[in-house]
This record gives sequence, structure tokens and C-alpha cells, in this order.
Amino acid sequence: MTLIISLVRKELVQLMRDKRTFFMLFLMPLIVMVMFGLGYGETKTPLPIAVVDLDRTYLSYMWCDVLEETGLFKVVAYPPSIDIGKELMRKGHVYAVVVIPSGFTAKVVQGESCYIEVIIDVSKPAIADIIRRGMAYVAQAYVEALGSRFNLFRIQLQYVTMYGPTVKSIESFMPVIATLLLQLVPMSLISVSICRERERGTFEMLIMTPITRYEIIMGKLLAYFIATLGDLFFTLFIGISVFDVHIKGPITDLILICIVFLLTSLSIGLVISAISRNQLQAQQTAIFFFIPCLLFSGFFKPVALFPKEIKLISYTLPSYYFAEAFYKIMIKGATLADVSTEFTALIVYTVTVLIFSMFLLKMRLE
Amino acid sequence: MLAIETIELTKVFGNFKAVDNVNLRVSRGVIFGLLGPNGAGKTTTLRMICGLLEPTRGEIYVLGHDVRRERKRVLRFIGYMPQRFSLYEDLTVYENLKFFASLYGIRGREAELRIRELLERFQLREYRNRLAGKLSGGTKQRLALAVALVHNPEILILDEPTAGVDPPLRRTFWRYFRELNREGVTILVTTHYMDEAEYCDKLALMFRGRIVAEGSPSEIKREVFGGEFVAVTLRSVDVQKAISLLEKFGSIADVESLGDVVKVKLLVKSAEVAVPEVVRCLEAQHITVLGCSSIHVSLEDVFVKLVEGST
Ligand SMILES: Nc1ncnc2c1ncn2[C@@H]1O[C@H](COP(=O)(O)OP(=O)(O)OP(=O)(O)O)[C@@H](O)[C@H]1O
Ligand SMILES: [Mg+2]
Repeated sequence: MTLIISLVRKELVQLMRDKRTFFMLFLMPLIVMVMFGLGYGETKTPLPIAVVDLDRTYLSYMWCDVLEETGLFKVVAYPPSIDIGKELMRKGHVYAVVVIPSGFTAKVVQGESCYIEVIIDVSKPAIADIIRRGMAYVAQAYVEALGSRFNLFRIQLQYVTMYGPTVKSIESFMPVIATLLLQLVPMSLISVSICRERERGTFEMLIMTPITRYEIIMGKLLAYFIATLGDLFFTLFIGISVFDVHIKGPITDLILICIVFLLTSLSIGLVISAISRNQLQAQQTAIFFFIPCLLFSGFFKPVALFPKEIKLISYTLPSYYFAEAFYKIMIKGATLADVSTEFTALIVYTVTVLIFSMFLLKMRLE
Repeated sequence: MLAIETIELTKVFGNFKAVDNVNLRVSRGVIFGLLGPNGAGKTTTLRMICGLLEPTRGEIYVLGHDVRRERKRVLRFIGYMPQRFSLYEDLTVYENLKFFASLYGIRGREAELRIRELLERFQLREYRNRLAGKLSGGTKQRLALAVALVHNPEILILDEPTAGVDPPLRRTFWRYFRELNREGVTILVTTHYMDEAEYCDKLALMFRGRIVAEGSPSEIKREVFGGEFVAVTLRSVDVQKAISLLEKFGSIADVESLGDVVKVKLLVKSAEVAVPEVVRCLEAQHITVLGCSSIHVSLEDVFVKLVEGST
């Protein structure tokens, strides 16, 4: 234990003297937040909506075409069920969900009147209004387009209102921002830590002392944890004070899940560092690992909408569990008990990866 | 018990034999020099002794302990100074010493005393708070030596400690080494500089992964040339006669004549025995001896001869 403390002290002194680390830890959070804040501050047009197509025949497809032809809407997702559609809206991915009932085509062909349900997010009244008018227009355009081919039929729109997340745009990006800052930054920082020692030759002296691989791994982990913990609080502080981010759930629970995720990221970085030959390779590996995390953790498209194979990838990514838990606590007001699955997954992940890194660390030169 | 012993030590990189069947026997309390040109396999050998590289074949014992099986134990006996500067350049001189001391379990007052002693001994006091990366080459080497000694090791393994160090400092370094040796530290040192090798009690000459000669400096010279050289300078009109007389003592390596002055280079078993006898014999035949003494052969010559032989 005393050797670990010696190593931690040494690492912290080195980190403090390194300008690059300082930049990564304290300027990155600011830069990333400002970027998201500025770039995604306004309402998106065309309005993203989801279509739950329970009919799946050509007349229902046509409805979607007409929707997009208006230029007002963009169908960004075709969720398989109404619940998933609602989930999308709750997360702020879409402003409305259009549900086409099964048997839609048959009814149109027979000239009966049919219902289309539109679930609208009324947390932004102005947008809800635009959607209502837009939908009425779409229905009319649809009837006109088909009226010459079929008997007279009518489409009735049924509106269901729902409260979306009422998130300010920066809030909806908080999971991405948090992942970026709690995964990419710590992981790439620590990923060079062991191979830098190899590259500079200091590893040769280090392993000539009685230090064990367990102590090297734990010492590095602890040192970088202390350094990046500051980063975590700094990020939350900026989010809350500058960008006025609102956290619905208990903040202690949010911090706890962030801490566990931070440890996960650092452990992964240690594995990368143990197996990489040099710093460049380590950095590249860290970034390479981060890409699927960014794509498949549900930031840009909910995981529920992915095909089965991709879902499997998502389930192996720690950022997926983190994003879920973070989202649930911050926006839905969940507590740690509600996200115990994600929490456990992250802990299991961390412990496994740490043990791996100890096995992979070679206490030899070659 | 030997300080260091290697038995048929071999290291193969890919299909290249960097170290080939090396048997070293380093007794306690000696300064043992490992000599050889670039790429001879010196660093590889030292690294295997330190347990930093896994040997392909062979055994290594340090103070009787098998390095492969009891590496942790062995590490406490060894102070190691790698060829390349391997300390933390972004830590100060003091921080480096303190860090390594703490890894050996030396802390608190004990550490402070030890560090002060080392700073004093290697004239590092004025650099105490300077970053290691900002030191000059020679000072870096002194720091590396201080760190290698931080845990009072019994054996010091030095890989080209004086490479790139100017001559005055090289002498200072050798003064340190002899002092340490007198205090009972066994030293295994590699070097390129042949003049330094003369300071060693024992030497092993390494070439292309093999030990090509071994012994004390004078033993090696004798072994390689099959004897010692004596230079005889004489004045004689009958060169032939003088030479035939000299041939009785050993073989003639070289003859040079300038007028009636003849210089003969003679290879004999032992110069000490031969010199007075040569003088007596020539003078008995009324040949004027202008000079007769043993020739100092440098290790450089030894090396050139060895390398010529094996290419
Ligand atoms: N890790 C390695 N992989 C492959 N070849 C290696 C490795 N380490 C050393 N070698 C080769 O082994 C040979 C011996 O190297 P070594 O460093 O032991 O020589 P040396 O006697 O210390 O030379 P120098 O005086 O230049 O330091 C060299 O040809 C070198 O290229
Ligand atoms: Mg070398």
C-alpha cells in the first residue's frame, strides 16, 4: 500500500507539470460545452418525428412520403412499437410520433374513414401548434393525391398530447458531453501513462525496484482518478452554473454513477497502455475504442431502434450503461436504486478490465 | 559464493543470437569489466542478469539466487544504471531519489539522511531542486549512479556509465567506483574505453554475443598473443648473429634496422624473466644493448587482434 502511495504522489507531480494534461482536464469541458451550446442551441428544422407504422403496406409508406414532401417534417425513426416511439419523444429525439394503425391500407381501399394517431410533445406549445397544422395539411394532401384512384375516404387525425422532456438543448446533450469528458479524456490520458514510461526508458528503472504489477496498476489508477475527479466536478459545475442545466434526480446519485464510469474508463485506458508499444499507438487505440461508444450508446439514435446485431455491440459498451443511467437520473429524476442494473454492469466491467490489465502488464522489457 | 554467475546464457531475438552461450563468473568484491564493440550483446547480457529480459536458454545466479525464480529477492541486491538515462526528467533530482528510495521501503528520516549522503558524495547538492531533464550529461550520469545506490546494494551493475562523459569526469567516476569497491561493493561494468578496462580486476571480452577472452588485463594480453613482448634495441654490425641469439628466447615478431642500430620485437613467455637474460646473453657476445624492456600492450591491440582473428 505504501508503494502505491509513493507512485500516486509521483504521478500527480508529473501530471501537474504537464501542460497537455492541464489542457485536457480544464479547458476541454469548457470547449466541449460551448461547442454544443452554440451549435445546437436552436430548434431543428425540419422537425424530427417518428412514425410507428403498424400497417406496413404501400399506402402507409406513401403517407410517410407525403409527410416528408412537405419539407416540414423529417422522419428520423421508425420505432417498432408505440412505447418505443413515446420513449424517443421523452428523450427529446423527436417532437411527434405518428401512429399508422394496422389495416390502414385496407380501409383506404374500401373507402372507409380511418384514424391516424399523432402523439405531440406539448412542452413547447409553439412547435406543437406547427405540428398540428402541418399534420392537417399532410392529411389533406394525402387524400387529394389518392382521391382519383380510390373511392372517397376520410382520414381523421387523433391527437394525443404528452409532455416531452422540456429539455433545453444543452441538457439533452449532457449525456454525450459527460461521456466525452468522462470517457475519452481520462482514457486517452491514462492510456499513454505506462507506454510513456516504456518509451522514455523509465520503466526499466521502475521494474528494477520491488514494485509489483498490482501496485503499478493501482497506483496509476488512483493517481489519474484523483486528477480526473476534478474534471468531473468542474464539468458538472460549469453545466449547472453557466449553462443552467437542471438535474431532476439526486445529484449525489448522479455523481456516484459518474465516479464509477470514470473508473471504468481509466481501467480500459490501463489495458490499452499495458498492451501498446508506444504512446501514439495507445492514443489511437483509445480513440478507436471511443468511436463505437459514441455511435452505439444511444446518443444519436436510441439503442431500441438498432438492429439486433448492433444492439449486441451496444450492450458490451460501458458508455451505453452510463448514458442510460445518466439520462434516467438527470432528466427523468430516477435514483440510484432505479438504475441498479446499469450501476452493477459498470462495476463488473471495471473490476474485470482491471484484472485483465494486471495480467497484461509485462514486467519485462521486450 | 559468486556474486554473479551465468551458465550457458543465451538470448535469441528472432533468428539472431544476441548473446551466445555466455558463462560469466563474477566473484564478490571485484570490479568486473565486460568489454566489447557496439552490438556485442553487453546490454542484453546485463538486462538478463537484472531479470529485465527473459533468457532464451541458460541459468543466472545472483549471490546464489536464481534470478528467474527469485527475482524480487535478487532485486534488493542489485543497483542498476542503464545505458540510457532512465530517470524521470520531469521530476527534480531530489524527487527522483526520494521516489526510488520509497519504492525500496526507505522513507522518512532514513530517506532524508540517505539522500543527503548521496547528494554530498556525488556533488549533486547544488542541483537538488533542478529537474532531471535539465541537467547536463555528466550530472545526469551522476544522478543515475546515486539512484542506483539508493538502497545500498551489494552489487552494482553499470551499463556504459561513462559513455559521453568528458575525460576529467570519467576519472572522477572511476574514483567513485574504486571507493565503492573498497567499501565492499561488487561492480559489473561495461565499457567501450579500453583505458578504463585496465582498472578492472577481471575482464571478459565480448564479440558477436560470445566471450572471446577472459581474465585479468595482463592475463588476457598474454593469452591472446601467446606471451609478452620485449623490445630490444642493440648496436651490431652482424644483425644475423644478434637475431639468431635472440631466437633462443622466443619468437621474433618484428625487426627494424637503421644503420647499425637494430630494433627487435620479441615475443617471450614472460617479460620479467626474459629481460635480464637477454641483456646478459647479448653482452656476453659483445653486442651493445641500447635498451631492453617489456612493451606495454594496450587492450586496444588485444581487441584488434581478436577481431581480426574472427572475421
Ligand atoms: N529487443 C531487441 N530485439 C531485437 N534485437 C535486439 C534487441 N535488443 C538488442 N538487439 C540486438 O542485439 C544485439 C546486441 O545488442 P546489445 O544492446 O546487447 O549490444 P551492446 O553490446 O550493448 O552494444 P552497445 O555498445 O551499442 O550498447 C544488437 O545487434 C541489437 O541490435
Ligand atoms: Mg549496450
